Amino acid sequence: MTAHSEFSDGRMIFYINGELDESNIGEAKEAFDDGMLRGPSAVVLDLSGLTFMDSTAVGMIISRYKRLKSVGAKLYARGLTRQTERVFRTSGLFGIIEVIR
Amino acid sequence: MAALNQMKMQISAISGNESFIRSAAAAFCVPLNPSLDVINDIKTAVSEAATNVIIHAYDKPGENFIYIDAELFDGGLSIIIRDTGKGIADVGLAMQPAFTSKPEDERSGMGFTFMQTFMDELEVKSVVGEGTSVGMKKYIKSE
Ligand SMILES: Nc1ncnc2c1ncn2[C@@H]1O[C@H](COP(=O)(O)OP(=O)(O)O)[C@@H](O)[C@H]1O
Ligand SMILES: [Mg+2]
Repeated sequence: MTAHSEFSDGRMIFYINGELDESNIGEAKEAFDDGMLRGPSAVVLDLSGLTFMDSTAVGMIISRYKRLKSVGAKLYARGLTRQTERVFRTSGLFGIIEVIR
Repeated sequence: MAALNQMKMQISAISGNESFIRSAAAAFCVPLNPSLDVINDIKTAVSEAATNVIIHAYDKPGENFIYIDAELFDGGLSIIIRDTGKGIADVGLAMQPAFTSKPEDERSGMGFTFMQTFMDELEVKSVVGEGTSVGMKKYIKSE
């Protein structure tokens, strides 16, 4: 798993590649929270390279969604695969995250 | 139903083994020719059960294991993921969507919901002080 952020126009694009689970969620959180220090106006999760996630990642996303919401920043996702799409659907993440292209 | 193949695995209950366990379970099913979606469902559900043993079952570090018993039968996979940890006092409560005993770790509490949704059968047995056993079945239609 690798994770990193890129910025454009105050937006943070957060890329997660590989398989994300309990063994590496700490690294992903750290990378995300480093990016958050720059105070993005919105965050896009780019999951096009994410080949596996489970409910551990859902916990990470929900807690960061709450933090973003409290500062008025929106959270988006793009590049979902069949596996990550099913995880999003089952956990209700589509209710809080808008999917963009 | 006669077993076509059987597998027993005993592996340390430490983080880092999640990926090996879910991949082994998925690879075990390959002779039944499952679709990619079915493989993903099995991987996700097994990952949830294994992760739960790793993070919830054992309070003391030491020789702690995850025990896996898998059987391939004509039409699917039957898998039991077991530990000899602290057990779950109220299984009904633990299985409720979004219930977690570790909210401070930013857990979603969706693990059992995933197991239920992604597999065809789920049976959780637990005895406080003795451990927990999570049995799951997935029907597999050859592609
Ligand atoms: N193997 C286990 N041993 C002890 N407790 C467990 C085990 N599996 C699950 N639990 C309990 O059930 C709760 C719900 O599990 P789950 O739905 O996977 O959510 P999460 O793992 O995010 O907490 C856990 O918070 C924990 O209290
Ligand atoms: Mg869990």
